[in-house]
Amino acid sequence: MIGLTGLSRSQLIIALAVIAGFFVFPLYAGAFRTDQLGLFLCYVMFALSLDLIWGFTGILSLGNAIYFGGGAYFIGLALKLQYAATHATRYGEGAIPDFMTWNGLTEIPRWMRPLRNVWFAAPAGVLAMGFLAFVFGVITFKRHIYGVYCAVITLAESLIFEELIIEKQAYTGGFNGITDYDSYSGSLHFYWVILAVTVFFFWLSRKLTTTHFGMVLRSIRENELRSEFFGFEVANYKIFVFTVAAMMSAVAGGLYAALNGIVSHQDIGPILSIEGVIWVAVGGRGTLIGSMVGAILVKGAQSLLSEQFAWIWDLLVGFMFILIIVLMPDGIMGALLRRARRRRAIAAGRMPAYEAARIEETPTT
Amino acid sequence: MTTRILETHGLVNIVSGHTIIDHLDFDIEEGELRVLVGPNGAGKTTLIDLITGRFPPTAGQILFRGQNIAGWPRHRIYGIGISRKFQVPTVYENLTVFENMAIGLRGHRRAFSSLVFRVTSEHAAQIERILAQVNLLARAADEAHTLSHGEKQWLEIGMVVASEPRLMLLDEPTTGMTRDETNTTAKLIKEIAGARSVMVVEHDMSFVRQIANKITVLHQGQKLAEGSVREVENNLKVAEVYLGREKISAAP
Repeated sequence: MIGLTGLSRSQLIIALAVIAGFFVFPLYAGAFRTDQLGLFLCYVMFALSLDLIWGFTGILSLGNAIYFGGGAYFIGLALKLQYAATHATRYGEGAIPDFMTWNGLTEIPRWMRPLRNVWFAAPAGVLAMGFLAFVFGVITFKRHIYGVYCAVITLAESLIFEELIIEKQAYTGGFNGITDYDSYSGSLHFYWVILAVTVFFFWLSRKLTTTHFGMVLRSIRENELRSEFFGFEVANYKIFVFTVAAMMSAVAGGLYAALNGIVSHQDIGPILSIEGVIWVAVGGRGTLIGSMVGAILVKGAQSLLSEQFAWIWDLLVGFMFILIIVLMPDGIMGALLRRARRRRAIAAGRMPAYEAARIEETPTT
Repeated sequence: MTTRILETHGLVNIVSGHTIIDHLDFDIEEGELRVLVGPNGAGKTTLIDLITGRFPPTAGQILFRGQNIAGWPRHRIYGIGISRKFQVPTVYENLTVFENMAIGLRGHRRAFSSLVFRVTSEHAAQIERILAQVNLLARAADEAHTLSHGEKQWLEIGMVVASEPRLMLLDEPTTGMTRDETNTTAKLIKEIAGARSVMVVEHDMSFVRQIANKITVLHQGQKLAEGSVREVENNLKVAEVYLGREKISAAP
């Protein structure tokens, strides 16, 4: 078990305790909180995928929500088609979703019909998003576009997709999104499925980042030119990790749609993409756990504050974000890891002089 | 008969109208330790950039063991055995010294092969051997940003050695070093040469005298002089280029 996860014994115990905590949470909390936590876990997976590409590889993508939203729309559409087919009294003999009728469609487009089977739609959505990310990745990384330019391009991609979703309302439900279908809200089993997938993705991300492959990713983040002259085809590494992350996002999005009961253009647009960047930054880039903590913390704070202080919660969340970034530029996990490293270094008596000086300057330690 | 590991024929590099390398014919022999000197802007770093594929040359050939590699992508040029050290020491600051070395290790360049690659005890032993050579063994677990400028130079040289090239291009390996560190570096470079061909770009003439058999002087992208240290130092054209100075040895 220890060999399988690459965690130390104490880390493994903590991990199992956290998983157990999440596992039993719905037995004590109500259906509302359980659903909420399920949605948060979807965001956690989204943050994990972003940490792979941004935290480890240094690609700042402001378009990660394309793949989350894409996965969500595949599932949302599938469930809607299914719902229409099984509720003939509401949707008539043609079994056409309401938003299609409103937009003048008299039958379900031929290309969309396979989506009536959700077991086809789910893998199709994930593969489609992987393919899309692969194409975007080739276009971006083979042409050596990086840094701010990469952020701008991915942002533009995100905007285009949001625009497309709103524009093509006969197929997507447009601005209102896809709603009114049977969701898995309130299902304990579905919550556990989400939890299991989250744990699997964490394990997968750890595998990816703790192998030699992960070290090459970090070297690319640190200095991609150096890595190129050491014979690494940097673009291929980026395309690979970008595609894997996109597929993770798509899975997260699909689960999100199935649980939430509504999919809208916001799930694919730049706002969610940027929110993801904030979660990862708050939690700590390149630490995996940090991105998960960040997602739950920020999303949790958002929902708790919005319940308590409806009129000012946005400001409070923003203020919290600024405070954390100013006090802990490497995020929460980054700051904790740095402290732990310092303590170990001091214990081993190999503290570089300037680091020691910094500790003396810092009143908090 | 000695064989040439690297030859350039009529190599030209023009950047926005400025000729940086001007019909350069240059060669290095198998197993040779060559020093390249020349005033700022002579085209020394550009020559390394062209050889390693940072830019394609405007015209001319770069033959590596008889094969024209001009315009090849960087990873392929690395793949046939050319490794470089940058002018400014370029290491992975937030990786440990050991991890830096592991990235340098030869092999497992493709994404899928690096997924299954493991640093074995043999690799670790190889890394430790090289780290001992560059005086960084005690720092193996430290992150590279905690190293001094000179130590970073050594680390990058160590990484280049770990990549086991046939031809090693070292751009200003002693910049920012104390006199003692420079002497150590001279010894180090003599140690690692011999097994492979090495080209060193340097300004520091006392360092050059310590390591060089043969020097090439580059000026305005052309070969100005070539020969032993003594021959080059007494070359009038060379003295002229190092404006107003009696000899090249007075150069900074």
